[in-house]
Amino acid sequence: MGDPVFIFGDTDAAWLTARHLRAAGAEVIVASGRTPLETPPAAGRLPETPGVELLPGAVPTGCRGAAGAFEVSLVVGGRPITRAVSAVVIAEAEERLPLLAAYGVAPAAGVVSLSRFGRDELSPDAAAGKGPQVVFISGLFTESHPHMAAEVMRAALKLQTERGVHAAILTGNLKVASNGLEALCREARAAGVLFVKFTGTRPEIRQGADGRVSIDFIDELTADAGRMRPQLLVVDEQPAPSRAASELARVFGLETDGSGFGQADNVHRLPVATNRRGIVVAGGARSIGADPATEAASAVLEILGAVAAAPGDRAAIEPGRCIRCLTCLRVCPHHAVTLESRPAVAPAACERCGICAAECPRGAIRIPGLEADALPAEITPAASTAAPRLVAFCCSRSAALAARSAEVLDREALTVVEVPCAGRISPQMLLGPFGRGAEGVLVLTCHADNCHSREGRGFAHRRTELAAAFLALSGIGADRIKVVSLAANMASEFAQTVADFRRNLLTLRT
Amino acid sequence: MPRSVETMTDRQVLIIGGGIGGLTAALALAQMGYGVAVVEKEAALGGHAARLACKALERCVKCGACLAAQTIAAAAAHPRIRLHTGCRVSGIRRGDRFAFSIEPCAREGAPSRGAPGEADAVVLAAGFRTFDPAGTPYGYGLFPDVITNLELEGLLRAAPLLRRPSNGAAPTRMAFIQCVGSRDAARGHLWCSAFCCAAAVRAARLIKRRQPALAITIFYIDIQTFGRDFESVYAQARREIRFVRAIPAEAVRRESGGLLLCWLDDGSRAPVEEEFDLVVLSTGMTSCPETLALSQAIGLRLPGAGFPAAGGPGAGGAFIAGAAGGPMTIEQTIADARRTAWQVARFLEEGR
Repeated sequence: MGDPVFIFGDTDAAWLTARHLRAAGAEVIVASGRTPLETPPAAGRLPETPGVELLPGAVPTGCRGAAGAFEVSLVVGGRPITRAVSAVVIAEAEERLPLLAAYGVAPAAGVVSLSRFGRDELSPDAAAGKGPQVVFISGLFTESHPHMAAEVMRAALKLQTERGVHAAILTGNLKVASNGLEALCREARAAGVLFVKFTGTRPEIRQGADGRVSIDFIDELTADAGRMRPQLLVVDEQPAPSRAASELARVFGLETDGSGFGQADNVHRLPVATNRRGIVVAGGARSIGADPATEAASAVLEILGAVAAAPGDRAAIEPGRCIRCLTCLRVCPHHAVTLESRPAVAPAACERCGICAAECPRGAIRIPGLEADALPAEITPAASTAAPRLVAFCCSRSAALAARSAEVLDREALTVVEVPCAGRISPQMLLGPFGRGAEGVLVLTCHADNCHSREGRGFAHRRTELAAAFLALSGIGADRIKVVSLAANMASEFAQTVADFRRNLLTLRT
Repeated sequence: MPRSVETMTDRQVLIIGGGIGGLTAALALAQMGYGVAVVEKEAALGGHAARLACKALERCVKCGACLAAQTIAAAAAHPRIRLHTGCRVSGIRRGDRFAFSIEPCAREGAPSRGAPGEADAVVLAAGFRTFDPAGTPYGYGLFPDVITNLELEGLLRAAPLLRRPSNGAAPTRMAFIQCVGSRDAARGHLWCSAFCCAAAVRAARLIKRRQPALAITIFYIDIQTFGRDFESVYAQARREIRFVRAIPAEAVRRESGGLLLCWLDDGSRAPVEEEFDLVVLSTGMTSCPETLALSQAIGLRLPGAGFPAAGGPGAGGAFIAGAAGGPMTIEQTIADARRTAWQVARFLEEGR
């Protein structure tokens, strides 16, 4: 596949991706901020051989270009270097933040965070005292995750069965929504692990001068008061993006989610895609608790798709019309507009959303098959029906799919214009149908946070408002244009929206 | 060596099941250049995912159900994917390749003729069957206002406002009962079905938004984390919906038509009785009846009854994808199907 694939991270997901790519005949560069690179348990690291370059102590500083031909800049050991790469995989580990403070305790001989417990294999004296000697807290004052609960239940089970140490787990909502966890919970219970769940009450946790805690609580099932005085309290952790995540997102031009992971919380990115073709995120770089082998397989599939030859129907800027205002560069959510002596579209990065073409003040951007003057199409004269003639602009990922299965009366009075993204619909396209006999225009977009091109639906909503204001001023009437969010599985809502809009338009006829 | 995309090959893969898992695997394999036959027993593609309602509020709530329509459209348009809906695979045998026949799911008694086929690898993506709650003490099948979560999805898809099936009136007190057929040791169902907490909370919030006068209660064992912003979604949901940590013992229909649920109160540990006029049973996932027989025929070793473990390595060209291997959300199914597709490609190129 030409240039090597750049993999940032030394996690299981990263090394497995590297192995898969080697098997597919690709060269790889594995880099990480750490020196030396980590060797994680499942994958093991690749030796440095021809086709494998290892870059420990690396800090990415820039990424230019598009899928198939990126140039990544790095600082390695204080020295700036660049590498030509075909694709980028970010597969760092997530961070695990301690939650001790949330429970009012501090690290001490009797209190540890879950990772440290696992690392040091701490094991208290089995014979000492009555009641649980190790108490785990999992998602008690906060909500936890199945992979964290699994770690806690496995540790408790191991203490109980292999060390003979009585263990307890205090939890709010026990997270078992992952393969095998309900069975693991039963097994731990049967082995003697005590589970105490809290709903309306909270245990009182006090840490003594010796570092050990005492826990007073009311058992909500029996109403009995209980006290635990374990040798060790183990508190689970809050997964979070790595400390480098926000800087990596900036360098690689990636959207982030609400927590700062390098992937938007958008179903169209599932499982490992980002807003940039050819750049994927895997494992702890995008989410928490994902299986590394699954992540690696998805990453490789995504890359194989991204480096395939780009189709010829992407956006292109006409040099003669372009005034270099850089609007396109600013609005493109996919980093597909590059700037050398003048702005140009990298076909391998273009997703054909058309936001640039609609925003370009000079009309200088052409997208084959999506020319503005061709799009309003013909509006069928609805001679056979009294229904108002409508044009519905539909996003191909959402409303256009709903339209196919919707049961709409008087179909011949409805012209569905399918666009790859509602962001393509320019003001000119919104107003065009009124000159061709349409009585109304519907703009149907994805919901917020569901737009494949992030801002496309936002542009469509704003432009429709502007068009409505214009229609009001011109005497045609603002009520003749309407924008609605409508998902692919909302066929009945599609029919309802058309029916409601038609009813409104009929009242405007008189 | 697995080829990059859009390279022709004569290798063929049979995928049993045309839900979102089977179709996602089919698309990934077709894009790598393999020929794919998808056999789906239902007349329509998309499986359960295609029957779910969009639960967006002002913004998308990331349930992923809308992806089914897109996946179906992409699979239907792909030149290397052949779709056989309303069909089943029969007489599958493993030799150098897999030999089988694809025959229409004929109606009772009608003779059917199969078309013979061969494949180099088989992916079992038969999905799941929702637990049948007819045997539970909630009067499902007897009381029209006791419905399943899947039936609720159908109602939400059909009309914007929820009505009681019995009389078409707007409900005023609605209950969700979680874990019906899941986490149930008495039935040997030692699994959480992974999707029902998310589906119930999202549906409840949507219904509450559309019908603010409707009081909604969710009865649960443990609310499972879903989505990336779960803490804030859950906190918001608790302001809109009543959460009761108890599973009601039974539903009794009153003469008024109301449904009486009885449970043990957390705080007082006293039994509480309350009337509802619509009860949704969050029925969990169970293994498809075909899965066991098919997996044996193609040489997949399944560890025990119930759900086989997903994510297994696959053996001799036989692979499993999606919820056929264990309960999964749409998001997990998509990821799992891609993992399987990659394993199939490795097998086809390297014979391992």
